[in-house]
Amino acid sequence: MRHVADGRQDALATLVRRHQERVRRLACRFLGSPDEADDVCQEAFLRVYHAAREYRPTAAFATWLYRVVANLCWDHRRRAARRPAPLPPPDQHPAADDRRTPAEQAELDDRVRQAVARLPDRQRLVLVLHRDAGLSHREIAEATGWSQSAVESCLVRAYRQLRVELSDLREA
Amino acid sequence: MNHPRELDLIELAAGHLPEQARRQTEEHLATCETCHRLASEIAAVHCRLGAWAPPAGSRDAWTDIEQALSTPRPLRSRPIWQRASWAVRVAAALLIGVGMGHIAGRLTLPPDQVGPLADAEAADVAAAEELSLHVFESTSPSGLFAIYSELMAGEEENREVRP
Repeated sequence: MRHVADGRQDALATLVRRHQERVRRLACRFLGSPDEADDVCQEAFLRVYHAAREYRPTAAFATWLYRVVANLCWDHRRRAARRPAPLPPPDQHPAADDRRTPAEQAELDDRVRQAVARLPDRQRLVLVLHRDAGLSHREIAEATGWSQSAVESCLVRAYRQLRVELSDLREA
Repeated sequence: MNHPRELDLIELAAGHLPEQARRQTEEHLATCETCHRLASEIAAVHCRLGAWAPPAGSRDAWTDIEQALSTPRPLRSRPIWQRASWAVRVAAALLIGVGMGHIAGRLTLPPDQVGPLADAEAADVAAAEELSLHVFESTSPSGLFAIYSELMAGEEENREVRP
């Protein structure tokens, strides 16, 4: 980050290549749109570049980055609330399970994606930060600015809803 | 029997429980069917979320970022709080300077020359002059010497007049 603060774009490129996939996955899981996820990913690293001088290593860089991503996702969601984005077509989902046919896997992914999309925004964001980014409750609270108890409550409620919606998909 | 919280079961599924808590929870799950079923449901959700792969992106992040960095950011594209920040700072500095100057002035000027009090005092002075009350002005601490002198001068005149 010191090199990035000095304006070195090669240092920023290193950061981008190291974290872009996780950032993009996180944004895509929250927003449900690959294009919006790409926009968030680009904007997040641009903000990192322009704010590098103010960065203080009081926490892990990833936690700070996810905070930026969480805020951007939240802003995108607020703006898109008036214009619901169409769900991407099922054929864009890659097969992730060898035991299922591609069509079955695509349908399964669709069910999960729609179930996650139906969660309230706060629950979805906490769930994505917890499951995809692997952040602890305290780190999620720091990233979102919410209290740790609120984060834990959102996480429990998200899992409750998903347990109901995906009950028929439960593996033995 | 202490049943684990749902949050603990979520953390167990995520592998975030400390070692001792994990052992205790698993020991309980081995003996409690209700909690074991709940833990299984939560673990299934956790697993399903991990198996879900978002669609692959079509753009390379660094290519977009490099292009954005090579294009200077126009002033209008910046948030209004960034564009206005320099003006806000200048205005705040002027306000603080004027305010401090005003306060300093109030503290250094004699009270009788400050604002409405000075006006009232000026009116009192004008009235005192009209009533010839200036005779009470004196350099003595008590201010009585001039009065005494006047009175004594008046007494002496009276003595001269009386037969």
